[in-house]
Amino acid sequence: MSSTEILIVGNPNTGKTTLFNNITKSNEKVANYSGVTVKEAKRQVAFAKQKVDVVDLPGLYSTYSKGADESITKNYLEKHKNSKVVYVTSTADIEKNMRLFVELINAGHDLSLFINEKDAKIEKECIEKLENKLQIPIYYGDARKKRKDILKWLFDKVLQKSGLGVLGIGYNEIVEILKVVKIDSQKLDKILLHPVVGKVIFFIVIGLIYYLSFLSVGEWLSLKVYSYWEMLCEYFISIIASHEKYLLIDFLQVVILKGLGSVLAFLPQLFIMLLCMYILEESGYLPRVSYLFNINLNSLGLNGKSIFGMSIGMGCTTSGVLATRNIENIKCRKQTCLLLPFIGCSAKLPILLYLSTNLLAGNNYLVLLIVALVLYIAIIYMRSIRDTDKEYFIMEVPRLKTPDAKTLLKQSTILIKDFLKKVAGTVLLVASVVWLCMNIYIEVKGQSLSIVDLFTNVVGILFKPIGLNNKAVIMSLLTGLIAKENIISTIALYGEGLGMGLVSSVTFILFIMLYSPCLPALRCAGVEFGGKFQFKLFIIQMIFAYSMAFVFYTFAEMFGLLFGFIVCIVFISLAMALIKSVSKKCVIKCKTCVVGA
Amino acid sequence: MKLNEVKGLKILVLNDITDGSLKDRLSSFGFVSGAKLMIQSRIKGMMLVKVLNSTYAINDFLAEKFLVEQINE
Repeated sequence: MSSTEILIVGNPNTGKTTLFNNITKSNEKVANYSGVTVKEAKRQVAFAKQKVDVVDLPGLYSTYSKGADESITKNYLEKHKNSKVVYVTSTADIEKNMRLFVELINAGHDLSLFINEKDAKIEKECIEKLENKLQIPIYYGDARKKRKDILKWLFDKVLQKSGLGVLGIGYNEIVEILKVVKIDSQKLDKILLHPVVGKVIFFIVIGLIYYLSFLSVGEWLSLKVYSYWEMLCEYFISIIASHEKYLLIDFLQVVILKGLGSVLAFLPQLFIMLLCMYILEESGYLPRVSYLFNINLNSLGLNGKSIFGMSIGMGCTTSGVLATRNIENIKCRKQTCLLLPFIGCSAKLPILLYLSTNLLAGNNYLVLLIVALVLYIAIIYMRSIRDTDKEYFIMEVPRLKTPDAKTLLKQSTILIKDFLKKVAGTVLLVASVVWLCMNIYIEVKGQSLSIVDLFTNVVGILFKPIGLNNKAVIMSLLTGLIAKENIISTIALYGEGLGMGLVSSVTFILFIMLYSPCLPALRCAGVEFGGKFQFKLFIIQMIFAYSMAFVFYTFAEMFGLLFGFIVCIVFISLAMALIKSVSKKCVIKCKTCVVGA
Repeated sequence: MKLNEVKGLKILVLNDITDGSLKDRLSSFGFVSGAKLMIQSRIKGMMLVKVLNSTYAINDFLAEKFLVEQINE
């Protein structure tokens, strides 16, 4: 491999991605916990008429590491042994960070050292002594600042460096030179890590986020966005109306105004929720939540690190699947992925609100019952399939810090851009296709039927037993497999009110909360764990959705809504208990056969 | 003395971890023979331990592997 490539390597949470974003002017995700970067990122940088590829790699604690994200770095280093490596260490943790540095330099990698000034200072004399000792270029400064100085150091010192520096250096020799000030623990941790108060604070924080996003500020902003969008669309429609382009008017009213508008209206709510979650990540609060809830998560076959996948999964299930790479235990990783569809992504929550407003006629308590039922199903399911073997758990808990305003602003911009891209791309395309299918008619046995009618007449046979034999419902569930946002936009194409009773409406919402994640999330799970797992994830969620919808609809129609919920709880409890006992018997039988043999 | 048997905030010296496969992984965190670690806090099944300037959450299952010698400072 040519040496026009620079790899950025180091322990987790030292500022590698911050450095990468600074020198390449990118916006890769950063946060204050280990395991944020789970895949490599590559960009080309030009400086003084030269170009170089810069690669940001996931953090690595040691070359003995087994985590999926750390394996990416190990394998990349093995394949790109001739590349220049910039080893990033943070000042406060430099003693710990130097262990991997020593491993890499003695393994013959071409290293330069970037000391990121973070939470502590190192004297310049120590840096000079270290440079003389190691015979490699060293940069000391803030990874977020002085881009030109950093680039000059990269191009003039790092790329021009010949030789590998001093080999056979010992860890103790390096540590003797460095004089790092000991940092005291933060006082706020006494409250945040308290076994009772800490957990109460967590639930208050989550409740506050949901209140801000979906009930107060978020709701008000959402209504404003929709009303302005409506005004804008009506203005354009009024201009076209005079030209009597009725098909175009219908497209504008149905697809653009209602379809796109109904999705765009959720932008403020999603923005507030995701920004709040990002503040939690950036501050270093999430690892504290992992510490507090690790034992509770163990009872579900998960561990504290599952928190990161779950919190990111609340934004996007696909990203949540990738975030599980920081979990070393493969069974726990898969278990976390199986949980993600139950938690729901940022698209599912607005759907819940939209449908509860339009279908449940103000019976908001039903939303709480649906959510409680879904959570109960998730817990029972996780407990029935969990691996009971004990495992080691160790996780670095970073210092708390105030989120950087510049980074928050950048992250907010990315959130809005990604959302608008999705709306302008996938949602607009799917809504347009559905609208076309609603307006193209075919003669069948003397009847003029639209493509949607033909399709839903066939597929409707499957949905009749669960009370969802409704064109809008069927089409929305199908388009929802591509992206969950399409559910609202497709329903909006049919106008408000689906003509369904209360029982069918609750069944519909329950089905949405349980059915398969979107195709990109399924595909990502397939890439991470194989095609079998991808298929299993799809089938399991469809079985949950259909069986629960069937049980609920059947009993709710006969005996009332509350009875429907109760029967669902009893049914799922018995079903999971049966599955658990059958699988236990199979394991015992297998072990007996093996022992007998 | 095992780490998970220790109560309160104490400074300890870590002796050799006998599990070889775990030893390499933990050494990258600074958990090596002779290291000083301080128990910051405990909750059921978990503890926060400070080594050098870094803090780690470890579970009791892991803490049982540590043989420690208490130093009163």
